[in-house]
Amino acid sequence: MTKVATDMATFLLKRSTVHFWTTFKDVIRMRRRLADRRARPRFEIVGQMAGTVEATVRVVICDISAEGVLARSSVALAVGSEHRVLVRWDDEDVPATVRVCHVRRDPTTPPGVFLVGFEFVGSSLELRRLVSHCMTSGGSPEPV
Amino acid sequence: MRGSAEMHVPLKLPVRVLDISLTGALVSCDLPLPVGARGKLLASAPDGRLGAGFYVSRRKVEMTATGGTFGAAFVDLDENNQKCLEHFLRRASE
Repeated sequence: MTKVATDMATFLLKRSTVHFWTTFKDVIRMRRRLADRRARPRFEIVGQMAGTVEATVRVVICDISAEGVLARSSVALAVGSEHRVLVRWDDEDVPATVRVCHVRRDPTTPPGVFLVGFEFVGSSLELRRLVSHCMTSGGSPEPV
Repeated sequence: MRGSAEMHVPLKLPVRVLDISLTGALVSCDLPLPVGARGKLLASAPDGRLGAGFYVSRRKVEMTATGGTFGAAFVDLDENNQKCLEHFLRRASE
């Protein structure tokens, strides 16, 4: 009976040691994984490596008028900058030139979202028609 | 407004590459792009011009100053740009 109890104790000790060792190895493995999860080596650039990024940013229109739009954007565009954009409404794209008038943080959303006011720089017949269509079918406070 | 209205704004931004690997780069920029945005990075490497399509995997915006950094994960690297990048990284690791 005493031997059985001793064996059981040894067994439990062995089990708990194995369990501890397995857990310890997992932690080390996890720490290594967290320290650098990259599969490929990464090189810090010493000095200058200048470049250019070309991207198209999508902004959501909150309000629109014949003069311009107020839009929600995750990029704080430079005030005064002009952009050649596509205005999309119900799968219809209309090209337009806009100038950024003001940028402010959107207090209703997490940091990193901005309310950007754009004014149209000249407006084509196509754009005026689209704006008119947007305004006549609007009126709902439903957010976009 | 009822319905879905949006604008697509093409941007061309000067950036600085802070570090780079075969799979992506950390880029510093005055207007850090949002997570998920896609674009093209053009940079001058010693062996030629590097052009790589990417998507933004993470972004860090500076709260006290303008600008920030974003992680660009490369996608659709063509053979020439892949070779250019490999050569550049091989030289960097020597």
